[in-house]
Amino acid sequence: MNEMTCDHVLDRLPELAAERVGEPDAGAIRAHLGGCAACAEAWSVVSLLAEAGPAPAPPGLEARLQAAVRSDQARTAAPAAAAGRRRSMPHWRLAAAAGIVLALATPVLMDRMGTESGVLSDDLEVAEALTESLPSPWLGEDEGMVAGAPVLDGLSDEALEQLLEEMGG
Amino acid sequence: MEAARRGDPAAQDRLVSRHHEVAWRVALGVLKDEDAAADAVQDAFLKAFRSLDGFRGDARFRTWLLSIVVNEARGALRRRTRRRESGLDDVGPVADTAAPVDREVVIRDEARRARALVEDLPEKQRLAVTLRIDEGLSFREIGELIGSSEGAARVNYHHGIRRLREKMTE
Repeated sequence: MNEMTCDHVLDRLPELAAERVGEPDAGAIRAHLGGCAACAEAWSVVSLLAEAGPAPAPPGLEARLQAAVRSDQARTAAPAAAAGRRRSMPHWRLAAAAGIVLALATPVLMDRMGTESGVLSDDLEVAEALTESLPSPWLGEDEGMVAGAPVLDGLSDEALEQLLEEMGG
Repeated sequence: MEAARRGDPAAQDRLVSRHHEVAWRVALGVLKDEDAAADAVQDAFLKAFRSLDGFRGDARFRTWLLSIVVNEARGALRRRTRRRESGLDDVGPVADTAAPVDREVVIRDEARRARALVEDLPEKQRLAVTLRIDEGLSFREIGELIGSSEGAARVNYHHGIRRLREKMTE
């Protein structure tokens, strides 16, 4: 039979109380308890605690937690879904809207180029930003910049559709 | 787990159902107040489900969840100002010796007394004892939860049992 140290026996008393120790270990533990007063007292404490059992959770706690999780998940999922709808806007619509913005901005820029050279550099930067990286048919949905994207960001599908309608697009 | 991560409400309900009792007991072990423990467990579950994407799966979900519970409970304890009174007065030693002694009643009363004495242990010893006896956690898992090494968790458990032994024989 295995000789067990006090520390080893103490470690396994909860398993013994839960009847999860097989032979020959269980026999070795019981033999040790029979000859060690300190471990025998520890066994009485552990077995009493196991007898009392853990405190049960209050009635209704499970339902309360499930309801709280559902509510919280619904709340955090809604804005994410809306953002996803905006991000997943088809490229052709973004390209069309970017074209519209360019069409609107270009006459203004051309006019200002002829009269106010002082603000020319700022306007050119705006124009460059608008013309930068038009969507490529080879780019994936999440790749690449779309011209005018910062301008279009935040516009709802309905607002874009209205813009396209007004421009005859 | 994957279904819960995708936001499947039924899968999330199942995780709550499976782990809410042990989560509550761990929080109670820190806070020693049932209402505060319930609040801490709720906060912990909400945080856990919001962070499910960050759960790598290299540890058991229960251990990961319980570490969140312990953090929430300790945070609540720090914010709390009221001290909970010990429940020792509610459980005395055993039956009236003038009446015939019912062995089962004696054992039941002694068991309740042992449970009450656990609440007076220092937090790490209390958690090490209850997590080992009630939940069957390994010392490595207990160490992760109480913020110590596996060896220190074992020492806390041993010291806790020894202290309870001394108190029971006083």
